[in-house]
Amino acid sequence: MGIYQLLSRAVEAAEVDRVEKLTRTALDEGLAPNDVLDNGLMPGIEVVGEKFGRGELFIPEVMMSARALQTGLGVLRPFLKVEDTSFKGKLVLGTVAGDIHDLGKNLVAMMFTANGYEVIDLGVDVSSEKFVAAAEEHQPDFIGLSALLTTTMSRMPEIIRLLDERGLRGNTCRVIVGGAPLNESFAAEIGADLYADSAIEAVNLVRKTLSA
Amino acid sequence: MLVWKPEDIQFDRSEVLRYLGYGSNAAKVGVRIRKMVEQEMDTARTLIAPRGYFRIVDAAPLREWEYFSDAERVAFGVATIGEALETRVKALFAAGEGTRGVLLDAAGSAAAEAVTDLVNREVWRWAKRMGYRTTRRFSPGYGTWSVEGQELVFQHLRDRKVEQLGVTLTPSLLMVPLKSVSFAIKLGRQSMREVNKGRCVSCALEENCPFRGRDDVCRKASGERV
Repeated sequence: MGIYQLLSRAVEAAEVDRVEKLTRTALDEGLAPNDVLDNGLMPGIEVVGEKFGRGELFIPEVMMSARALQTGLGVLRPFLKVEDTSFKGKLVLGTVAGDIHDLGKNLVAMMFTANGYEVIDLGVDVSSEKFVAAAEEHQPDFIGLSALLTTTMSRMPEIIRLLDERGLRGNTCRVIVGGAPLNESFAAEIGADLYADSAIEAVNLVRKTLSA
Repeated sequence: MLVWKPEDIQFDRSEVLRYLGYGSNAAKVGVRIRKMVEQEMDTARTLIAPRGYFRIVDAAPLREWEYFSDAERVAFGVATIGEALETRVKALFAAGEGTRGVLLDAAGSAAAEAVTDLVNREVWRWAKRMGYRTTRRFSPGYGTWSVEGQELVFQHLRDRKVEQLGVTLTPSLLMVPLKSVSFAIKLGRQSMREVNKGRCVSCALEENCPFRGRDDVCRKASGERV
């Protein structure tokens, strides 16, 4: 089995120490850092995502694999060239005003970070104005809005309206929404660009959108 | 106010795994996760401050609400495990220990539900003593009862004892601490209609819910604490 396959399997099995060791070995063998990332680490987390989608793996296993991936990325990062290390995309993320649930939002942040995206986490109880200000400041590819209550998901259309009014949304910045009481039709109704019902689906949707 | 010692709160691993989404797949949990679940359950036991409170009121003024139309009396209650556990969960995430954070959070949810069972038991005892039948408990934001029901529950619990309990309602009807459960139980001499019949049957979310049909409590409806 080649080193890429070993790395991929180690990510899948969430063997943090092994991922670290194999990543260092790959670099020592002179393999290009971006190849180690694309051919070794990423296929591992992609398999995890697929298994999660099929109900073969669950959130704790996914998070452990994400941690293993992050460890490998941590080893690679100093050796990646600037153009390689530029993140795959930038996500501004937060739980909307009036809502202080952060577990789901944290899972999303962790999955995006582990998959090589830059995440700006605004935290919980984030005002609509703060989302807009962050969109202006950071110029993200995606703005992620999370809500766990029917009473707070109603903030989402207001944020989308404000972003539209300031010309901050479009093909370069899309809004992705998620949270327990939401569904696809609500997302469509409020004009969100994307809806994801899990952290992994969010990553997959963003990946597909950026590669389209 | 009802107060229990942490060791009085019985919640088991299968409950915690259910909150983590394993449902009937508990057999698929690996040794490593299983061990971490045990560790976080132990941690949870050191962080919970189980408390609860309930009040039983005459149902007559509540009969305009369809939910209470066939009740003679209604018990409104709230249970909590306090704030320390969710503070620790936040700290774990901040330290990059998200897996442990998720496991501890699930243990907290299981513990909060176990405390609610104890408050519920006190309601049953009272009802039995007074010759009333009871329905299963139902909570705002779960099943068909919208989260706006929180106002009704807290309106009936607004007294000094609830202040001592330390559970407050935010303007968006969220309970703080998050690991709190509010509920209502109908009491009457005759049989009464269950509000949430067979788990998902009466849920307005219908087929849009990814948890639908699983052997699980409702984790999807708004007001979720997990």
